Formats: sequence, C-alpha cells, structure tokens
Amino acid sequence: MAGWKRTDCDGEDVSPRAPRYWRLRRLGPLVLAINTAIAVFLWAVTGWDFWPTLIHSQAIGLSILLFQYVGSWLLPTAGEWLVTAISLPLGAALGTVVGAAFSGMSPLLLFTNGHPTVATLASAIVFGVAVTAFFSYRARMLAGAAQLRDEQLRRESAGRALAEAELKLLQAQIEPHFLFNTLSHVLQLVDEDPARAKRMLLNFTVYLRGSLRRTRSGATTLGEELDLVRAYLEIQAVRMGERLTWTVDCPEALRVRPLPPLLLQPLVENALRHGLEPKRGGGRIAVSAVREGDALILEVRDDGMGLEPHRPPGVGLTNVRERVRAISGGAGSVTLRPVEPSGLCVRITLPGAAALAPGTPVPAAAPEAAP
Amino acid sequence: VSAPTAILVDDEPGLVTMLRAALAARWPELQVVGEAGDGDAALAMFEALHPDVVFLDVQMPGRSGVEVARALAGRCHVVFVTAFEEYALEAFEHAAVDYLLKPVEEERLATTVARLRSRLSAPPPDLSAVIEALGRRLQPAPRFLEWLQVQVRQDLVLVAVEDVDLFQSSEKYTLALAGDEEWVIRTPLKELEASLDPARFWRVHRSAIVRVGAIARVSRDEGGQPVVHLRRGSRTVVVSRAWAHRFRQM
Repeated sequence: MAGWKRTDCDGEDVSPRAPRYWRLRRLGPLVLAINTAIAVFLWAVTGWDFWPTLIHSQAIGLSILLFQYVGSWLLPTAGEWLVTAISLPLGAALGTVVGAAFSGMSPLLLFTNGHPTVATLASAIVFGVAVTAFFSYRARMLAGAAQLRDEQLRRESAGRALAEAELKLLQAQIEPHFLFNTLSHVLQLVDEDPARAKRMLLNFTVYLRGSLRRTRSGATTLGEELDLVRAYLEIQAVRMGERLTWTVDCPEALRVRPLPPLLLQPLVENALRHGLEPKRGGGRIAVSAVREGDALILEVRDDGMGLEPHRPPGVGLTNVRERVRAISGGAGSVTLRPVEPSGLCVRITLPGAAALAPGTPVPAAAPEAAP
Repeated sequence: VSAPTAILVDDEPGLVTMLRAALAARWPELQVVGEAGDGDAALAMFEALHPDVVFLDVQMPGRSGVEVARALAGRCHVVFVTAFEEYALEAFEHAAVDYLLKPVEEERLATTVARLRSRLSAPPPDLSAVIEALGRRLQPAPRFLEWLQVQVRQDLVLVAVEDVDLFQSSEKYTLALAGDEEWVIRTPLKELEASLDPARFWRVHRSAIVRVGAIARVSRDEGGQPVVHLRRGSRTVVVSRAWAHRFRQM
C-alpha cells in the first residue's frame, strides 16, 4: 500500500495487520469521556436519573463505535458516510436495549408507551451524528497535517538533493585533461589543417557554452543537450582518430522537449573515458532519444570495456542518478545494462511530467542561491 | 657514433604527428624509427628496434605508460608525455625525470632535448622510485565490489552496491534489497562479504549484511537483542549476539 505510514510519530507500530486494534486503543478513552459528557449534559438538562442515563449513554456510544468498526471491516471499500449511516441507527438501537438491560429494566418495557424510548433514541441519533462528525473532521485534519508534513519533507529533501547534485556537477564539469588535450590538437591542426582546426575550435566553443550555461539558467532542451554531446564527440573523434565512431539519433519533434542540462553529456563522457579510451581498438558510441508513450527514453550505448565491477560509480553517473531522482520525484530511473559481447548501455527514463516540465525549478548555482 | 633513435608512444595519432614535427625541428639528427598507439605495441616495438629514447604517454589503453616504463627500466631513456595528470606531475616534480606537457611548448621541448643529448652517452637514470609512485597513484588500492549484475525479467541490469540496503541469504541464493525492490544474486553471502567494503557494509547476522548508511535506527527487542530498522521500507533485521557489540551504546 503506497503512502501507508508504518510508524506514527511516537514510533508505535501501526502496521497494516493491526490498525483497528490500535485505533480502538487510542479512541476508546476518548469515546468513554465523550459518552460521560453527554450523560452529564442530558442529566442536567432533562432531569433524568443520572446512573441510567450514564449507562445508556455509554452503551449507545460504544455500540455505535462497535458498528463503525464492524462496518468498516465488513465493507472496507464502502464510503465513510455509508458506514456511519448504517452504524448510527443500529448502534443506537443496540445501545438502548443493552443500556436498558444494564440499568435493571426489562428490554421488553422499552416497547411500552410509558418509557422515554423515543427520547433516548432521538438523543442517541443526534449526539451520534455530532460525535461522528467530530471524529471524521479530526481524522481528516490529522491526515491532512501528516500529508502536509510528508509533502514538505519530501520536497525539502528533493530540493536539497538537487542542489547538492548540481554543485558537484559544476565542480566536476570541465575536465582539465580534456581541455588541455583539445587545445593541444587545435595547436597542432592550426598549421597542418587550418579548416579542421577551425571546426575543432567551433565545437569547443559549443561545448564550453553548453557546459557553462547552467550557471546562468537551468532551462535547456533535449536538442541543446544533444548539440553539446555532438560537439563533444566531434572533438573526441579528432583526438582519437579512427578509434572512435559515433551516432546521435533523435526525432526532430523531440528536440524541443525541456530537459535539465547535462544529463546526457556526463554519460557520454563516461562511455568514452571508461569504455572506449582504455580499449585498444576503440569503438562506437550510440546516443539516442525516443518517446515511449509519455516518457522520454535517453540511451548512451558503447561497445567498450564495459563496467568494471570494482570501479566506484563516478561523480558523473552518481550525479545524473541523483538529479533524475530529484526532478522526477522518484518516478524516473537510470538503469545500466551490460552489452553483448562487450560494452555498457545506460538508459535514462523520464516520465512524461518530469520530461515535459522539470517541475522542481532548477536552482542554478547562481550567486543569489548562496547564503 | 650512429644517429640516436627514438619511438613515440601515444594513443592519440594527432599528437604523435605533432611531436614528431616538433622533434624534427629541434633535434634533426634524432631518427624517429616508430610510432605506437598503445602499451603493448610500444613494448613489441622496443624489443624489435631498441631505440635510445622512448617518448611515452602516461595514460593509454591496454598497458599504461607506467607499466611500459617499468618493463623498459634501465634499458633506454624515457621521456613521459602527459596532458594533465595531477598525480603524474606530482610524481615528476619530486624526481629528475624528463617529461613533456601537452600541448608541447617549443621552449620546454628544447630544454628536454638539450638534457637528453648530454645524457645519451651515460646509462639511463634509475626511474624505479618515480614509476612506483606513479603506479600507486594510478591504482589506488584496495578496491571493493561496487556493482552487482542482477537479472530483471529477461535483462541483465547493473546495480550499484551503494543502492542496496540489505543482503540476505536464502537457501541457495542471496537477496539484495533496496527500498521496495528486491533482486536475486547467486553469490553466496560469505563470498559477498569478502568483496564488500567493510566500512560501508556490516555483517549483523549469519544471514544478513546491512549497508551502514541505510540504517535509520537501532532498537532492542524484548530479549534485549538489537534490531536494525532501515530507512526505506518497514523491514527490520535482528542483530545476532556475535555482532551485537557494533551497536553497543557509545
């Protein structure tokens, strides 16, 4: 059962196995007190004898409670009001009979005219409705407060996780090794092949702009992310020569979908660094985006070395996972699968809502976000 | 005296070309007799050609530059070439090692060439200390199991051990539990325990290993045995006597 709170704030066990029992224990004393208050009120107002009034009041109140429990147990799917509508008259009747028996009257006398049965029943119904309404209101208030608390907690922790993940990402972003290597190549190509040097510099500009954009605004699209990935791969293809082949596939219609920045790029970087760079012959990276129903599926697949079981998940991957979790409220996922005969496939699934509108506003590491 | 010979080792073909051009300008009599793209090829080439100097990229696929240098120890002069490896720079700066930074600067290359020329007649310096330091930085030990391969329906999926809250042994297999997810793995619990980081995963029972970070709190049952409550889900794990000392109050 989703959302079922297994322990309340006192840490008491309220596992689904014994909820009624627990509720009875909690509500019992309260119901007894209310019954007593009603009896005192009736005794003072009507001038009835105190003890029979108290006994009747308790008998009727507890009977209604009993029928409420039996009702909600027998008809677990029925609405609260239906159960109440059934249990009120039944409880009032049973309570009147039991109360009469306990106060030393023959229950049969109830059906003779001389007895204030009608008044007893009527007050039972009136007070029953009032008390039930009170409990229903109270339960709703408590549930509302708990839900609010849960929601607040969830939102706070999601926001915190996201902010932390983004900070880490910023720190890990532009890898010095990549930067210097790229510059080395540009330097070399300037004399040898100026046109290629120019293209490499242009790609590098796209890459830098994309990587730095997040410091200003968090809103990017899938298309922009793929442009960044493409620029990165083009640079790497110059570096690695024939050792790298790559593809980026995305239907044109999907390019406009909003996507938090740098979800794909770290995965592509990982595929290159841990998958293909250490592999002697190099290999192939395939990046793809597809729609499955409402969800957006992003995939980075390589035929490199695969995941070494003893390599700790790097900053990049951990980061992407944390952010996907945070922006989708737990509904999105990042799964890793080994590829036959060798390699790794990382798949991000973003459910419709998360992919369409990155609900939690992305607090970019802007100065105003800092304390 | 015959002309000095060299091989260039780098996994990025473009950079080899550039180094070759720079060397031709600075050291015309040096004969670059070969180029290799990875460590194994470099070693094979060395055995075949016995060059005087090897220009060696530190990070390469297959055998790393460090391993190649170890294999070449004392048999030729080695010049390390690196783009930006903090660990490498640190190791280099504490020893008389020839190294070049990418992109290779003309002046820096000139200094290196001058030093190499004067040293060529002498036996190569002992680099073992540097190589060991580099090796240590390249392979930080010890390493623990970080990923599990689990079967999810038809698919093999990789799960980070950091996501697993609890490993529980069943009759024939081990269950890995994470929140409300549950996977079957075939590695016996005992074997698993040996490969997991003992700082992050604690054995609490003959049949259970729990991730320390997944523990929400520890209570006591009627008999005073500690009971571990996990952050996610409602599952509890009884700590058996042998491991109870870990949960004694500080």
